Amino acid sequence: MGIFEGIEVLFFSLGVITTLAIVGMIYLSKNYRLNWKMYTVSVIGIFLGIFAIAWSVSSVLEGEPRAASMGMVVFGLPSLACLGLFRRLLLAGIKK
Amino acid sequence: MAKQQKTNSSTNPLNRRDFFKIGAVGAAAGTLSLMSTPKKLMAEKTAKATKNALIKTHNSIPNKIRSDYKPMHQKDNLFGQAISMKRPDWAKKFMQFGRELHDNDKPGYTQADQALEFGAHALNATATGMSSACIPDIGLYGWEQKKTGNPHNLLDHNYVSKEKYAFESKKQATDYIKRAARLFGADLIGITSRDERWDYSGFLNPHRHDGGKKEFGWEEFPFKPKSVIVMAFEMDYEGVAAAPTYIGSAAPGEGYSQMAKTAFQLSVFIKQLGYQAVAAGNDLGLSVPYAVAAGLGEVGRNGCLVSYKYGPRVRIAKVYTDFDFAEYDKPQAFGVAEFCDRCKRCADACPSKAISFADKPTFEPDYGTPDTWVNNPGVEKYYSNSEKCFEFWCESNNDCTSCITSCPYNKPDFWHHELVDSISALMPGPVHNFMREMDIVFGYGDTYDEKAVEKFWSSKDREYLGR
Repeated sequence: MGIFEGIEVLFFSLGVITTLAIVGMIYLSKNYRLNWKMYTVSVIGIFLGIFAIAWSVSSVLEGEPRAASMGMVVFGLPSLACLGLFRRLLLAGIKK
Repeated sequence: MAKQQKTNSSTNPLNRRDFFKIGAVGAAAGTLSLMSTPKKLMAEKTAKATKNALIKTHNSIPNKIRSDYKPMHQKDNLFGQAISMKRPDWAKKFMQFGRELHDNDKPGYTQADQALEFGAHALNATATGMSSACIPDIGLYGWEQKKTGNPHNLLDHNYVSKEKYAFESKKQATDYIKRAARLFGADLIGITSRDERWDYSGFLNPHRHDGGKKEFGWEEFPFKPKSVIVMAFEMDYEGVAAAPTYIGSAAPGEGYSQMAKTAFQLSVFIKQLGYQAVAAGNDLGLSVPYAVAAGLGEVGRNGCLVSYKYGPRVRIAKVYTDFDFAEYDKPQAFGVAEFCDRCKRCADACPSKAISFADKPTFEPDYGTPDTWVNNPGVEKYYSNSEKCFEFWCESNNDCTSCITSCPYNKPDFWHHELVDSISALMPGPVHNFMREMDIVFGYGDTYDEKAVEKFWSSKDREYLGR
């Protein structure tokens, strides 16, 4: 990377991902009627997803690959589950 | 209920105007916050506020002390009993420690691994002799308070200046001392008053060459100490991860060498301010309670100092001085005692099973009978079986360090570990069990890890030319 260290690139990328996620949520809330369940699972899913990336990349940077994989399992899988559930709720709402 | 797509004008997809509105509000808020508080300062304030919420300050060390507690004579600790030949069997074993012995087919025990250990220990061994076995008044840890330097060495300033430097305030004096210690290489620095409870009541130095007594007391110390400056030195994470091997011993070895260098330099700094000072490693007094008193951390189940930043992965040096115009630090607690009650990872990892598995700290060792104890009872803590620990050192011919490697507080300096430690400090006991299990599942703290040896020597992701 030269000028930037890995951790700096990580947090810059997390900033970009967070911004995109917020813009995405605003877009969805403008286009679809979201209820509290959808907000809850989406916010938890996004938070866990970003946390999983932050944890796992940090673990790789500190040289602990097993902690990185476990981070993906412990935080990443619940994130995917939440986001999957959100998608399902959203699609169900659209069909109605 | 209905989750239908909105169709009216108020729910149009995010249009350009909305996008710019959001962007403008965000930018304005960001600019204002950046203008009012510099970013770095804001981050520092947040970090400080978090730490203040987690760290409790005490007026005295948090461990309870029984009224009959008495300081120990140095000759009565395990090394003292071996050196004084009170226990010839220990002396015999001790003589085997640090022997040249390697196996080039065994990772962590090759000639290169042992060379690393010897190199790491070299400065300490050459400049302070057997001080690591608590023997005082050797080399850089010598007691002499010279009035002039060596006339044949213009750069020798290891003497007490005739002029006393007048600090404007105690705060300034404290700031100067701590800044100097940091320059000389200390990672953590605290100052506390001298406390005779933590000093050896008397000393043994069988190698005294000046014709003095081999056993002596504080009356031979050149001044009455008033303050003790306690410094902690981080040990290499990858080195400690390779425990128990020669590489695992190189990490503390380097710590010992840093201790000798820095403590000696700080003692000269204080002497040049016009005050008397003696640098010390493991000698003179018990480093862990002094470090706790100076606010560097808490005592762990493994008997080590567990610091907030580095966990137990530190070595401790001290400087005794008659300078007392300083702000003394206060002991701090951040949940280590409660965590240690449940964790027991160090006790599980200890190859000689020397660490207590008790559920609560005690005032006396919970192994054997009083006649077999090498510990000094009277302080509420977990007592390790020093004899078992020592025997493993001598048999395996290395410093072990497994109890430090396996401790969940031993982590690299990364944000996510600070987060976990903070959560752990705030959570009740049962959560600590979960934290311990997660620490194992995530792969931290493994001992006898051959990959750690390979990783230590690997050049992968390492830059030596500064490019």
